[in-house]
Amino acid sequence: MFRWFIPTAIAVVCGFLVLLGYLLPVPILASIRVDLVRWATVLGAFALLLAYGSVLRVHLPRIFQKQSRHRVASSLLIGSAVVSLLLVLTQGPGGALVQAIVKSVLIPGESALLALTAVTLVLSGMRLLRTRRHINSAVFIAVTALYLFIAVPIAFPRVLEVILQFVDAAATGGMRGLLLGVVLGIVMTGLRIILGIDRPHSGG
Amino acid sequence: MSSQLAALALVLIGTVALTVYGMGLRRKKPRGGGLAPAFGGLANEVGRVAEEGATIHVALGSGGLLDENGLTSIAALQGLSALTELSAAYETPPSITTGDPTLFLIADNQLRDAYARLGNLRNYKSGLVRYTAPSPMLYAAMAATLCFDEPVGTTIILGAFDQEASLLTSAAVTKGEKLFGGATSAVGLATLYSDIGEDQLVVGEKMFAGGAEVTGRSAFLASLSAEDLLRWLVVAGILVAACASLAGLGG
Repeated sequence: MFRWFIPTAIAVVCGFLVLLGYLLPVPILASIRVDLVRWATVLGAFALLLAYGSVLRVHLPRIFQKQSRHRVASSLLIGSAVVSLLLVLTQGPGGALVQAIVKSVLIPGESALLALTAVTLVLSGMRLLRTRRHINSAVFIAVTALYLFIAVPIAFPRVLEVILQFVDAAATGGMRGLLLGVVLGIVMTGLRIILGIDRPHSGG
Repeated sequence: MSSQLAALALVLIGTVALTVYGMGLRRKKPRGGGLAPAFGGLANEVGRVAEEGATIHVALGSGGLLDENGLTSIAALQGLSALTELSAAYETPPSITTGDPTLFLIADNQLRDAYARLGNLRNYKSGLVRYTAPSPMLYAAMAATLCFDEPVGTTIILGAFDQEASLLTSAAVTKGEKLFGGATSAVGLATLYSDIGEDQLVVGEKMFAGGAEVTGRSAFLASLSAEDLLRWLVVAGILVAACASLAGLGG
Protein backbone atom coordinates (compact mmCIF):
# COMPACT_ATOMS: atom_id res chain seq x y z
CA MET A 1 0.00 0.00 0.00
CA PHE A 2 2.78 2.47 0.99
CA ARG A 3 4.55 1.66 -2.27
CA TRP A 4 1.84 3.43 -4.27
CA PHE A 5 -0.39 5.28 -1.78
CA ILE A 6 2.07 7.87 -0.44
CA PRO A 7 3.58 8.86 -3.84
CA THR A 8 0.08 9.05 -5.34
CA ALA A 9 -1.26 11.15 -2.45
CA ILE A 10 1.69 13.56 -2.73
CA ALA A 11 1.29 13.78 -6.53
CA VAL A 12 -2.46 14.41 -6.31
CA VAL A 13 -2.24 17.09 -3.59
CA CYS A 14 0.73 18.88 -5.20
CA GLY A 15 -0.85 18.63 -8.66
CA PHE A 16 -4.11 20.15 -7.45
CA LEU A 17 -2.35 22.98 -5.61
CA VAL A 18 -0.13 23.86 -8.59
CA LEU A 19 -3.09 23.73 -11.00
CA LEU A 20 -5.26 25.92 -8.74
CA GLY A 21 -2.32 28.31 -8.29
CA TYR A 22 -2.25 28.77 -12.06
CA LEU A 23 -6.00 29.04 -12.59
CA LEU A 24 -7.32 30.96 -9.60
CA PRO A 25 -6.25 34.53 -8.83
CA VAL A 26 -5.64 33.80 -5.11
CA PRO A 27 -2.25 35.11 -3.85
CA ILE A 28 -1.70 32.32 -1.29
CA LEU A 29 -2.25 29.63 -3.95
CA ALA A 30 0.18 31.41 -6.28
CA SER A 31 2.80 31.49 -3.52
CA ILE A 32 2.26 27.76 -2.75
CA ARG A 33 2.61 27.01 -6.46
CA VAL A 34 5.94 28.87 -6.66
CA ASP A 35 7.25 26.98 -3.61
CA LEU A 36 6.15 23.59 -4.93
CA VAL A 37 7.71 24.24 -8.35
CA ARG A 38 10.94 25.27 -6.60
CA TRP A 39 10.93 22.03 -4.59
CA ALA A 40 10.36 20.09 -7.81
CA THR A 41 13.42 21.79 -9.32
CA VAL A 42 15.50 20.69 -6.30
CA LEU A 43 14.22 17.13 -6.75
CA GLY A 44 15.15 17.44 -10.44
CA ALA A 45 18.72 18.21 -9.37
CA PHE A 46 18.77 14.96 -7.35
CA ALA A 47 17.43 13.15 -10.42
CA LEU A 48 20.39 14.56 -12.33
CA LEU A 49 22.79 13.14 -9.74
CA LEU A 50 21.13 9.71 -10.02
CA ALA A 51 21.29 9.90 -13.82
CA TYR A 52 25.01 10.75 -13.73
CA GLY A 53 25.46 7.88 -11.27
CA SER A 54 23.94 5.59 -13.88
CA VAL A 55 26.32 6.98 -16.54
CA LEU A 56 29.25 6.15 -14.24
CA ARG A 57 27.84 2.68 -13.53
CA VAL A 58 27.68 1.92 -17.26
CA HIS A 59 31.05 3.41 -18.23
CA LEU A 60 33.38 2.76 -15.27
CA PRO A 61 33.52 -1.05 -15.72
CA ARG A 62 34.29 -0.56 -19.42
CA ILE A 63 37.52 1.30 -18.62
CA PHE A 64 38.86 -1.68 -16.72
CA GLN A 65 37.86 -4.27 -19.35
CA LYS A 66 41.00 -5.00 -21.38
CA GLN A 67 39.20 -6.15 -24.54
CA SER A 68 36.48 -3.52 -24.46
CA ARG A 69 35.90 -1.54 -27.66
CA HIS A 70 34.51 1.30 -25.57
CA ARG A 71 37.57 1.76 -23.37
CA VAL A 72 38.73 5.03 -24.95
CA ALA A 73 35.23 6.53 -25.22
CA SER A 74 34.38 5.65 -21.65
CA SER A 75 37.70 7.00 -20.34
CA LEU A 76 37.11 10.25 -22.22
CA LEU A 77 33.57 10.54 -20.87
CA ILE A 78 34.55 9.85 -17.27
CA GLY A 79 37.59 12.14 -17.55
CA SER A 80 35.57 15.04 -18.94
CA ALA A 81 32.88 14.55 -16.28
CA VAL A 82 35.48 14.62 -13.48
CA VAL A 83 37.22 17.71 -14.90
CA SER A 84 33.87 19.51 -15.39
CA LEU A 85 32.82 18.68 -11.84
CA LEU A 86 36.13 19.89 -10.39
CA LEU A 87 35.96 23.12 -12.39
CA VAL A 88 32.35 23.83 -11.42
CA LEU A 89 33.12 23.10 -7.75
CA THR A 90 36.23 25.28 -7.67
CA GLN A 91 35.19 28.15 -10.00
CA GLY A 92 31.38 27.93 -10.11
CA PRO A 93 29.36 27.75 -13.35
CA GLY A 94 30.40 31.30 -14.32
CA GLY A 95 34.16 30.68 -13.91
CA ALA A 96 36.54 31.74 -16.69
CA LEU A 97 37.73 28.22 -17.54
CA VAL A 98 34.21 26.77 -17.41
CA GLN A 99 32.96 29.48 -19.77
CA ALA A 100 35.95 28.92 -22.07
CA ILE A 101 35.10 25.18 -22.28
CA VAL A 102 31.44 25.97 -22.97
CA LYS A 103 32.31 28.52 -25.68
CA SER A 104 35.12 26.61 -27.37
CA VAL A 105 33.98 22.98 -27.03
CA LEU A 106 30.29 22.58 -26.26
CA ILE A 107 28.76 25.32 -28.42
CA PRO A 108 30.85 24.54 -31.56
CA GLY A 109 30.16 20.82 -31.02
CA GLU A 110 26.41 21.34 -30.88
CA SER A 111 26.54 23.70 -33.86
CA ALA A 112 28.36 21.06 -35.86
CA LEU A 113 25.69 18.50 -34.97
CA LEU A 114 22.96 20.96 -35.96
CA ALA A 115 24.69 21.45 -39.31
CA LEU A 116 24.90 17.68 -39.65
CA THR A 117 21.12 17.39 -39.32
CA ALA A 118 20.79 19.47 -42.50
CA VAL A 119 22.75 16.76 -44.33
CA THR A 120 20.82 13.89 -42.73
CA LEU A 121 17.50 15.59 -43.58
CA VAL A 122 18.46 16.01 -47.25
CA LEU A 123 19.55 12.36 -47.35
CA SER A 124 16.29 11.16 -45.81
CA GLY A 125 14.35 13.28 -48.32
CA MET A 126 16.22 11.53 -51.12
CA ARG A 127 15.55 8.13 -49.53
CA LEU A 128 11.86 8.99 -49.35
CA LEU A 129 11.73 9.53 -53.12
CA ARG A 130 13.42 6.18 -53.69
CA THR A 131 11.65 3.97 -51.16
CA ARG A 132 8.08 5.27 -50.83
CA ARG A 133 6.74 6.31 -54.21
CA HIS A 134 3.38 7.53 -53.07
CA ILE A 135 1.26 10.63 -53.59
CA ASN A 136 1.81 11.70 -49.95
CA SER A 137 5.58 11.48 -50.37
CA ALA A 138 5.37 13.55 -53.58
CA VAL A 139 3.32 16.25 -51.82
CA PHE A 140 5.75 16.25 -48.88
CA ILE A 141 8.78 16.70 -51.14
CA ALA A 142 7.01 19.30 -53.32
CA VAL A 143 6.05 21.47 -50.32
CA THR A 144 9.55 21.16 -48.84
CA ALA A 145 11.14 22.15 -52.16
CA LEU A 146 8.71 25.06 -52.52
CA TYR A 147 9.58 26.33 -49.05
CA LEU A 148 13.29 26.08 -49.74
CA PHE A 149 12.84 27.91 -53.06
CA ILE A 150 10.81 30.67 -51.39
CA ALA A 151 13.31 31.02 -48.53
CA VAL A 152 15.97 32.13 -51.02
CA PRO A 153 14.08 34.32 -53.53
CA ILE A 154 16.47 34.43 -56.48
CA ALA A 155 13.84 35.41 -59.04
CA PHE A 156 10.20 36.59 -59.19
CA PRO A 157 10.06 37.99 -55.61
CA ARG A 158 6.47 39.31 -56.05
CA VAL A 159 5.13 35.95 -57.26
CA LEU A 160 7.00 34.12 -54.51
CA GLU A 161 5.55 36.48 -51.90
CA VAL A 162 2.00 35.56 -52.97
CA ILE A 163 2.85 31.84 -52.94
CA LEU A 164 4.46 32.25 -49.51
CA GLN A 165 1.29 33.84 -48.13
CA PHE A 166 -0.78 30.90 -49.41
CA VAL A 167 1.66 28.29 -48.09
CA ASP A 168 1.95 30.08 -44.73
CA ALA A 169 -1.84 30.16 -44.31
CA ALA A 170 -2.11 26.43 -45.04
CA ALA A 171 0.87 25.56 -42.82
CA THR A 172 -0.36 27.72 -39.92
CA GLY A 173 -3.81 26.14 -40.10
CA GLY A 174 -2.31 22.65 -40.07
CA MET A 175 0.04 23.48 -37.20
CA ARG A 176 -2.81 24.92 -35.13
CA GLY A 177 -4.89 21.79 -35.71
CA LEU A 178 -1.97 19.61 -34.66
CA LEU A 179 -1.30 21.78 -31.62
CA LEU A 180 -4.94 21.75 -30.55
CA GLY A 181 -5.05 17.93 -30.50
CA VAL A 182 -1.73 17.72 -28.65
CA VAL A 183 -2.75 20.29 -26.04
CA LEU A 184 -6.02 18.48 -25.34
CA GLY A 185 -4.09 15.21 -25.04
CA ILE A 186 -1.71 16.86 -22.57
CA VAL A 187 -4.64 18.27 -20.56
CA MET A 188 -6.31 14.86 -20.27
CA THR A 189 -3.04 13.05 -19.43
CA GLY A 190 -2.35 15.65 -16.73
CA LEU A 191 -5.88 15.34 -15.35
CA ARG A 192 -5.56 11.56 -15.12
CA ILE A 193 -2.39 11.98 -13.03
CA ILE A 194 -3.86 14.74 -10.83
CA LEU A 195 -6.98 12.65 -10.19
CA GLY A 196 -4.82 9.66 -9.25
CA ILE A 197 -6.19 7.49 -12.09
CA ASP A 198 -2.75 7.20 -13.62
CA ARG A 199 0.38 6.65 -11.52
CA PRO A 200 3.50 6.77 -13.71
CA HIS A 201 5.57 7.66 -10.60
CA SER A 202 4.62 4.46 -8.76
CA GLY A 203 4.18 1.98 -11.57
CA GLY A 204 0.39 2.22 -11.99
CA MET B 1 -7.93 36.73 -16.33
CA SER B 2 -10.43 35.64 -19.01
CA SER B 3 -7.95 33.10 -20.39
CA GLN B 4 -7.47 31.70 -16.85
CA LEU B 5 -11.23 31.32 -16.46
CA ALA B 6 -11.49 29.63 -19.87
CA ALA B 7 -8.71 27.21 -18.83
CA LEU B 8 -10.47 26.54 -15.51
CA ALA B 9 -13.74 25.83 -17.34
CA LEU B 10 -11.90 23.47 -19.72
CA VAL B 11 -10.31 21.61 -16.81
CA LEU B 12 -13.62 21.30 -14.94
CA ILE B 13 -15.48 20.05 -18.02
CA GLY B 14 -12.62 17.62 -18.70
CA THR B 15 -12.76 16.29 -15.12
CA VAL B 16 -16.54 15.79 -15.21
CA ALA B 17 -16.39 14.19 -18.68
CA LEU B 18 -13.55 11.87 -17.60
CA THR B 19 -15.55 10.72 -14.57
CA VAL B 20 -18.82 10.21 -16.47
CA TYR B 21 -17.23 8.43 -19.47
CA GLY B 22 -15.06 6.37 -17.11
CA MET B 23 -18.06 5.10 -15.15
CA GLY B 24 -19.94 4.33 -18.38
CA LEU B 25 -17.03 2.41 -19.91
CA ARG B 26 -16.43 0.34 -16.76
CA ARG B 27 -19.78 -1.32 -17.25
CA LYS B 28 -19.22 -2.01 -20.97
CA LYS B 29 -15.89 -3.95 -21.06
CA PRO B 30 -14.00 -1.57 -23.37
CA ARG B 31 -11.65 -2.52 -26.18
CA GLY B 32 -8.74 -0.39 -27.28
CA GLY B 33 -7.85 -1.73 -30.75
CA GLY B 34 -7.54 0.52 -33.79
CA LEU B 35 -7.02 3.83 -31.96
CA ALA B 36 -3.33 4.16 -32.75
CA PRO B 37 -2.26 1.13 -34.82
CA ALA B 38 1.45 2.02 -34.66
CA PHE B 39 1.44 1.28 -30.92
CA GLY B 40 -0.30 -2.06 -31.53
CA GLY B 41 2.57 -3.20 -33.75
CA LEU B 42 5.29 -2.40 -31.21
CA ALA B 43 4.74 -5.44 -29.01
CA ASN B 44 5.13 -7.75 -32.04
CA GLU B 45 8.66 -6.44 -32.46
CA VAL B 46 9.70 -8.14 -29.20
CA GLY B 47 9.25 -11.61 -30.69
CA ARG B 48 10.84 -10.62 -33.99
CA VAL B 49 14.03 -9.19 -32.50
CA ALA B 50 14.23 -12.06 -30.01
CA GLU B 51 14.30 -14.50 -32.96
CA GLU B 52 17.05 -12.45 -34.60
CA GLY B 53 19.07 -12.33 -31.39
CA ALA B 54 18.88 -8.55 -31.46
CA THR B 55 17.48 -5.88 -29.13
CA ILE B 56 15.08 -2.96 -29.33
CA HIS B 57 16.37 0.57 -28.85
CA VAL B 58 13.76 2.95 -27.45
CA ALA B 59 14.75 6.61 -27.77
CA LEU B 60 12.50 8.70 -25.51
CA GLY B 61 14.00 12.11 -26.24
CA SER B 62 14.70 15.01 -23.94
CA GLY B 63 11.20 15.86 -22.69
CA GLY B 64 11.61 15.99 -18.92
CA LEU B 65 8.99 16.10 -16.19
CA LEU B 66 9.93 19.65 -15.25
CA ASP B 67 9.31 21.15 -18.69
CA GLU B 68 6.36 21.47 -21.05
CA ASN B 69 7.13 18.16 -22.79
CA GLY B 70 6.83 16.04 -19.63
CA LEU B 71 3.36 14.72 -20.32
CA THR B 72 4.26 13.89 -23.93
CA SER B 73 7.07 11.69 -22.61
CA ILE B 74 4.73 10.06 -20.07
CA ALA B 75 2.18 9.36 -22.83
CA ALA B 76 4.94 7.81 -24.94
CA LEU B 77 5.94 5.56 -22.03
CA GLN B 78 2.31 4.50 -21.51
CA GLY B 79 2.15 3.50 -25.18
CA LEU B 80 5.27 1.40 -24.64
CA SER B 81 3.91 -0.42 -21.58
CA ALA B 82 2.90 -3.54 -23.54
CA LEU B 83 6.35 -3.68 -25.10
CA THR B 84 8.16 -3.40 -21.75
CA GLU B 85 5.96 -6.09 -20.16
CA LEU B 86 6.43 -8.48 -23.05
CA SER B 87 10.18 -7.78 -23.07
CA ALA B 88 10.33 -8.59 -19.37
CA ALA B 89 8.39 -11.82 -19.95
CA TYR B 90 10.67 -12.95 -22.80
CA GLU B 91 13.78 -11.61 -21.06
CA THR B 92 14.72 -9.58 -24.12
CA PRO B 93 14.81 -6.16 -22.45
CA PRO B 94 14.95 -3.05 -24.61
CA SER B 95 17.75 -0.49 -24.35
CA ILE B 96 16.06 2.75 -23.39
CA THR B 97 17.85 6.08 -23.78
CA THR B 98 16.70 9.41 -22.41
CA GLY B 99 18.04 12.94 -22.56
CA ASP B 100 16.52 14.09 -19.29
CA PRO B 101 17.27 12.83 -15.76
CA THR B 102 13.65 12.90 -14.54
CA LEU B 103 12.52 10.94 -17.59
CA PHE B 104 15.38 8.51 -16.93
CA LEU B 105 13.94 7.78 -13.47
CA ILE B 106 10.37 7.29 -14.74
CA ALA B 107 11.51 4.98 -17.58
CA ASP B 108 13.72 2.98 -15.22
CA ASN B 109 10.79 2.66 -12.81
CA GLN B 110 8.48 1.42 -15.59
CA LEU B 111 10.90 -1.25 -16.76
CA ARG B 112 11.65 -2.33 -13.20
CA ASP B 113 7.90 -2.59 -12.44
CA ALA B 114 7.37 -4.73 -15.54
CA TYR B 115 9.91 -7.21 -14.14
CA ALA B 116 8.46 -6.95 -10.62
CA ARG B 117 4.91 -7.73 -11.82
CA LEU B 118 6.21 -10.96 -13.32
CA GLY B 119 8.08 -11.80 -10.10
CA ASN B 120 11.31 -11.67 -12.05
CA LEU B 121 12.98 -8.64 -10.45
CA ARG B 122 16.20 -10.60 -9.88
CA ASN B 123 16.88 -10.53 -13.62
CA TYR B 124 16.43 -6.79 -13.96
CA LYS B 125 19.67 -5.03 -14.91
CA SER B 126 19.98 -1.38 -13.92
CA GLY B 127 21.95 -0.30 -17.01
CA LEU B 128 19.07 -0.98 -19.42
CA VAL B 129 17.80 2.59 -19.15
CA ARG B 130 20.49 5.13 -19.90
CA TYR B 131 20.77 8.85 -19.53
CA THR B 132 22.99 9.93 -22.41
CA ALA B 133 23.30 13.73 -22.57
CA PRO B 134 21.51 16.84 -21.31
CA SER B 135 20.83 18.71 -24.57
CA PRO B 136 18.57 17.32 -27.35
CA MET B 137 21.23 17.45 -30.07
CA LEU B 138 23.92 15.76 -27.95
CA TYR B 139 21.37 13.24 -26.74
CA ALA B 140 20.43 12.24 -30.29
CA ALA B 141 24.09 11.98 -31.34
CA MET B 142 24.96 9.81 -28.33
CA ALA B 143 21.84 7.64 -28.63
CA ALA B 144 22.56 7.11 -32.34
CA THR B 145 25.89 5.49 -31.47
CA LEU B 146 23.95 2.72 -29.72
CA CYS B 147 22.90 1.40 -33.16
CA PHE B 148 26.55 0.72 -33.93
CA ASP B 149 27.61 -0.49 -30.48
CA GLU B 150 24.84 -3.03 -29.88
CA PRO B 151 22.92 -5.53 -32.02
CA VAL B 152 19.82 -3.34 -32.36
CA GLY B 153 17.09 -4.79 -34.60
CA THR B 154 14.40 -2.16 -34.11
CA THR B 155 14.61 1.48 -33.15
CA ILE B 156 11.61 3.25 -31.63
CA ILE B 157 11.84 7.05 -31.53
CA LEU B 158 8.94 8.23 -29.44
CA GLY B 159 8.47 11.39 -27.41
CA ALA B 160 9.42 15.05 -27.61
CA PHE B 161 11.66 15.34 -30.67
CA ASP B 162 12.57 18.04 -33.17
CA GLN B 163 15.05 17.91 -36.04
CA GLU B 164 17.63 16.05 -33.91
CA ALA B 165 15.58 12.89 -34.56
CA SER B 166 17.17 12.77 -38.03
CA LEU B 167 20.50 11.74 -36.44
CA LEU B 168 18.74 8.72 -34.93
CA THR B 169 16.76 7.79 -38.05
CA SER B 170 19.85 8.16 -40.21
CA ALA B 171 21.87 5.79 -38.00
CA ALA B 172 19.00 3.28 -37.88
CA VAL B 173 18.50 3.32 -41.67
CA THR B 174 22.25 2.92 -42.24
CA LYS B 175 22.20 -0.20 -40.05
CA GLY B 176 19.07 -1.54 -41.76
CA GLU B 177 16.95 -1.50 -38.60
CA LYS B 178 13.18 -1.43 -38.51
CA LEU B 179 11.91 1.99 -37.46
CA PHE B 180 8.89 3.09 -35.44
CA GLY B 181 8.35 6.56 -34.11
CA GLY B 182 6.26 9.53 -33.31
CA ALA B 183 6.43 13.12 -32.19
CA THR B 184 4.06 15.90 -31.24
CA SER B 185 5.85 18.83 -32.86
CA ALA B 186 5.53 19.70 -36.54
CA VAL B 187 9.32 19.82 -36.96
CA GLY B 188 9.76 16.42 -35.31
CA LEU B 189 7.03 14.85 -37.43
CA ALA B 190 8.43 16.28 -40.67
CA THR B 191 11.81 14.84 -39.73
CA LEU B 192 10.45 11.39 -38.92
CA TYR B 193 8.02 11.24 -41.85
CA SER B 194 10.68 10.70 -44.50
CA ASP B 195 12.20 7.61 -42.86
CA ILE B 196 9.28 6.03 -41.03
CA GLY B 197 6.36 4.43 -42.86
CA GLU B 198 2.92 5.94 -42.31
CA ASP B 199 1.73 2.78 -40.51
CA GLN B 200 4.63 2.99 -38.07
CA LEU B 201 4.36 6.73 -37.42
CA VAL B 202 2.49 8.20 -34.46
CA VAL B 203 1.26 11.64 -35.46
CA GLY B 204 0.55 14.39 -32.90
CA GLU B 205 -2.40 13.62 -30.63
CA LYS B 206 -2.23 9.87 -31.44
CA MET B 207 0.67 9.83 -28.98
CA PHE B 208 -1.90 10.20 -26.21
CA ALA B 209 -3.97 7.24 -27.50
CA GLY B 210 -1.10 4.77 -27.02
CA GLY B 211 -2.08 3.80 -23.47
CA ALA B 212 -5.67 3.10 -24.58
CA GLU B 213 -4.49 1.10 -27.61
CA VAL B 214 -2.16 -1.22 -25.75
CA THR B 215 -3.93 -1.61 -22.39
CA GLY B 216 -7.62 -1.09 -23.28
CA ARG B 217 -8.12 0.35 -19.78
CA SER B 218 -11.41 2.19 -19.32
CA ALA B 219 -9.65 5.23 -17.81
CA PHE B 220 -7.56 5.72 -20.95
CA LEU B 221 -10.56 5.26 -23.26
CA ALA B 222 -12.65 7.63 -21.15
CA SER B 223 -9.90 10.22 -21.42
CA LEU B 224 -10.00 9.92 -25.24
CA SER B 225 -13.79 10.42 -25.25
CA ALA B 226 -13.42 13.44 -22.96
CA GLU B 227 -10.71 14.76 -25.29
CA ASP B 228 -13.13 14.49 -28.23
CA LEU B 229 -15.79 16.37 -26.27
CA LEU B 230 -13.34 19.15 -25.39
CA ARG B 231 -12.24 19.34 -29.02
CA TRP B 232 -15.81 19.94 -30.18
CA LEU B 233 -16.26 22.58 -27.48
CA VAL B 234 -13.08 24.36 -28.59
CA VAL B 235 -14.19 24.16 -32.25
CA ALA B 236 -17.57 25.62 -31.28
CA GLY B 237 -15.79 28.37 -29.31
CA ILE B 238 -13.60 29.23 -32.32
CA LEU B 239 -16.67 29.39 -34.61
CA VAL B 240 -18.59 31.60 -32.16
CA ALA B 241 -15.57 33.89 -31.76
CA ALA B 242 -15.14 34.11 -35.55
CA CYS B 243 -18.86 34.89 -36.09
CA ALA B 244 -18.78 37.50 -33.30
CA SER B 245 -15.69 39.08 -34.84
CA LEU B 246 -17.38 39.19 -38.27
CA ALA B 247 -20.45 40.81 -36.72
CA GLY B 248 -18.21 43.42 -35.06
CA LEU B 249 -18.91 42.21 -31.51
CA GLY B 250 -16.35 41.85 -28.72
CA GLY B 251 -13.59 44.01 -30.30
